[in-house]
Amino acid sequence: MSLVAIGVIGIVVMLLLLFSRMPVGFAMMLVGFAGFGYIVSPSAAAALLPLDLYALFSTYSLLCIPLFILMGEFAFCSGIGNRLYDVAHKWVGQFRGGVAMATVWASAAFGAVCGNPIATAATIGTVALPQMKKLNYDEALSTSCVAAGGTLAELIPPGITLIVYGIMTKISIGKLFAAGVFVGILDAVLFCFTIYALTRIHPSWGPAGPRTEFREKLVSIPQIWETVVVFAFIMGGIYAGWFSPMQAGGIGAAAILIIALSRRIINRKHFTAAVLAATRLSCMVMILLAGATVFGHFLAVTRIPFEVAVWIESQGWSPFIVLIMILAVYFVAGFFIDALAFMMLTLPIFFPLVVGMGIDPIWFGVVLLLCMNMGALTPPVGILVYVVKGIAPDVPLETIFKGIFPFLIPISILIGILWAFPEIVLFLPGFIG
Amino acid sequence: MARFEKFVKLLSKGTNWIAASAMLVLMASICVAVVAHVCRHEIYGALELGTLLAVIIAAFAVADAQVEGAHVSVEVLMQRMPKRIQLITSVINSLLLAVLSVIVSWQCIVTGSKLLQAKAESVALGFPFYTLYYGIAVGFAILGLVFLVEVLKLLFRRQR
Repeated sequence: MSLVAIGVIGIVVMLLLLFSRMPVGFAMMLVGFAGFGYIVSPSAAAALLPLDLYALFSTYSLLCIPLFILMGEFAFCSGIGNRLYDVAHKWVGQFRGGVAMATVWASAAFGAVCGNPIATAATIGTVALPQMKKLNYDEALSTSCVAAGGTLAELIPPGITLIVYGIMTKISIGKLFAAGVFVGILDAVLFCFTIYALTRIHPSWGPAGPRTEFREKLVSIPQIWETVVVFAFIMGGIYAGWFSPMQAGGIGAAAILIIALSRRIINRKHFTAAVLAATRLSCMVMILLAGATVFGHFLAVTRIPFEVAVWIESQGWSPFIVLIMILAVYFVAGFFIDALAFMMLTLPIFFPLVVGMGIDPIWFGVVLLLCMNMGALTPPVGILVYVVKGIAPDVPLETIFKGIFPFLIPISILIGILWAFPEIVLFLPGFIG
Repeated sequence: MARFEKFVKLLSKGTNWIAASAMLVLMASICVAVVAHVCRHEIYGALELGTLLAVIIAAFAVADAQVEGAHVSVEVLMQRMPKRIQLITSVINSLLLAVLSVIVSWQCIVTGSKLLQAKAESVALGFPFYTLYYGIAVGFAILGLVFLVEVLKLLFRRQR
């Protein structure tokens, strides 16, 4: 049997294991181990496992994953989300659809200190959904804007998926953070346009909230100081060279912990729950990466990435077509498989191809993330929709999914804009050495 | 069976506390290193300490992450399958992963023992590498027990 045939069988077996509910990281590790053992030797495969695990766990760039996750967990229980929402509500809540727009901006701001879309949707949704219910907002709009807002946490630094992408592709995480800033803001603006358009067509979907005085708006601003300070400190510190992106997570986590302690918001129970949850979540990501590493070794010996690249080159397709095909694969796979897991599974195949075609890897990472964000919103996997369903159990799942579809349009438009103007992504990373 | 399950859960929780402590030490050590760097002092081995702590976090949280269902899996197809098929695949998966965990644990002990004999240590702190490999071995051994409990629970449920 040829090496490629073994590789294809390995991929099929792994997909079967994935769909049989085996945890993705372990499925990749198991198939990678068995496949490597079959091609090279069982003893070589057995010896590879501890070396791969240790090498991955002790990778310096991986340090930022547990630390940014810890920062997100502290932010989750620190009450920052409530204050951000309150400010956004006071500024835009009085307009038609304004509370939904406030939800989007609060999510974007919370994402800047959290980086975890699930925690962002859960935090902002808990505050925003009762407000929108009180104002008789359409259930589809209110729940879907919370889910869509959650995706902003991936784009606006420190998004965990961008960190993982950086680790897997050896791209500077600082540059990836910088690339996400404008794109995240643009995404939030486009979400607000969508809300504006929807409430213009259906005014009853998003009635205007109570009017607030300008003085009230101004007085509310100090409530966001901790978010602004922590975000500016993290990005500024990386830019100024005070600390690396890896250390930024530790600084950010400590800063948010100090803020929460000084405000007496976090108690011992919250604290221990946050730290234990952070270790579990970090471990989950690390096991995914470890599985992808072992599986990557198997793919490398089968030469599949190389053969795929040669085959595509022989077809004479333009980079545009190839990129469309890759993004389509991610979009469709996002319906069924967790986006982060799928990225780890496929990046060893697609990334060399993309780089070989001369496409900027930072730009590709951001566009890939947008595609994956669509997957996080679409049925049947749509993890963020399930999070919102958990906060609003009385809203049927179909209603939330129905509300999500208009938000896929701005994400698609944003991909088009970035395609036409890649400078939006590449402008800020150019300043980071 | 209930006692065994309780014991395994206790082990996984206990090791996650070690991981959590390592995470807090990591946060604190990074803060100290950054403050020292800004004050133009470098703390020797700070970077190395971070990577060693990351190994501890991953190794000691792996079992509790499985107990708490933190590892990502694809539910979409199995949810639509008959209960019997769900049960059979769950038993097979847990058995396969128990075997994988044992292999990882065993190989980590083998590699750790070689490093112990070679007296291999980290460059800056002189930390013996074998302890970390043994740590991964412990984490995956407990993970193997977690999968074993899953198998036994599924089979006992079937009998009832």
